Amino acid sequence: MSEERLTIRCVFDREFNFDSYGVRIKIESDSQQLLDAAKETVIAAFGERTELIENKGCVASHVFGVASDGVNYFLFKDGEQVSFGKSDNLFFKFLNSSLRIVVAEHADSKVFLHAGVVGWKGSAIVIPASSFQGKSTLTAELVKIGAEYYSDEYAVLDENALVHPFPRKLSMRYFGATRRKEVSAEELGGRYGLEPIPVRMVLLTGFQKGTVWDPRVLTPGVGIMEIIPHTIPMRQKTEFSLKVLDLLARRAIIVKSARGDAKKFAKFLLAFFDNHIKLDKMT
Amino acid sequence: MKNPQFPIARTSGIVIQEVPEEVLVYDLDTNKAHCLNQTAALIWKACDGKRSISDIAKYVESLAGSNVSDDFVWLAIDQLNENNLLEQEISANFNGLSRRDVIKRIGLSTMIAVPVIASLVAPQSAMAATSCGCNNNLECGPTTPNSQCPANTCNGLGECRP
Repeated sequence: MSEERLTIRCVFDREFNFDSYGVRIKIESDSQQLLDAAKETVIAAFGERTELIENKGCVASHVFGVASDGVNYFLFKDGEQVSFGKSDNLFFKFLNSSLRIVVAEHADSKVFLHAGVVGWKGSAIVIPASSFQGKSTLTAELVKIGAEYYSDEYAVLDENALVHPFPRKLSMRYFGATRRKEVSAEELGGRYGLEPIPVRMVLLTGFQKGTVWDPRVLTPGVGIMEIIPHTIPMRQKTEFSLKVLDLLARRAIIVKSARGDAKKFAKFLLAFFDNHIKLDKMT
Repeated sequence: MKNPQFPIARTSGIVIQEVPEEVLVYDLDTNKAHCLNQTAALIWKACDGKRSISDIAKYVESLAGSNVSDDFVWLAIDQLNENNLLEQEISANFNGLSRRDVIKRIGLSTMIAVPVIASLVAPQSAMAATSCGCNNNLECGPTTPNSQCPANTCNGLGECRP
């Protein structure tokens, strides 16, 4: 397998711009076909939070370029080639991921956490986790039993630490986690959460076969330290991120424990959450 | 430059966030986050360049209502030093004992929590925690030209490494 890095030189003469969460991005290409595919990718990534901007030549804070030499696809960011590959499917998946990262890092007055989110009786449960921790699986199981779906990718927190929906389908892994499919909340028999809601529980968990749920409630400071690795704009907007995380930790309990099977655990978790809310009201 | 008598808490290049019971300090130079427990935070805030180690011990003692020795303060200073949270480096003076020995000795003589600072480095890039769309090593190995991560930094498990 060659380790040589392919490069391409091209002149981008076509473009479109869009805005999402206050971040304006330009996408340019030398091919209308690629540009159309990129537009579809943008809409898939941000759904109704995509505002396409028609006027050509407007100022964008981030510029992506997409090109192909007929064999490979090439991705540019702010003039630098950042990736290439033969598979159009993977290429546009990666473009999707790159766009979401840029928006998550620079969104106006928002802090994006890499997390699954559901709403339950007007409050949110946020489940920060890296990939392959079973975040989407647990989120899906919660949605199946009646929780409102907010996101399986990002918890979008505003300056008051209210969580907003991040409108994209659940990305479920299957076939030994080697394949993915997109599933809507409706397909799971659930529904979407639409309104910003307060977070009452942050759950730090991951699947461990045969484990027993043994929750430990973390202090706000220790809890925030656990959330920081999942906080996308931590380096770009440190002060704002810490303020929002502080508000989050003041209103929510931060619980940590490994968990077993997602289906059984989902029911248990909602009962645990109900108890917490009840106790909280009493005290 | 060493100034063992009058430590000064660092104020530049950091972001401080007070949370209930603890203080979070984010070092903008190193992108390290530190969580100071109540005792460590109290000692750190008392490092004003005017108080000696003994003065700080007395000050903390008056607030905590429990015995606080110089060793107790040195234990905090040692960690503050290690995490670059003082203006000037100060070598901890444990009289030849290890930090572990000092903790054991302090633990038996005081009712207040031993000063503790927990630290971590914030991810170098958001990509460290973000899936890249690759599902296995064949699609996205560290050296495959098909790699979908910038500079071929995929870990082969669906994530881009910094």
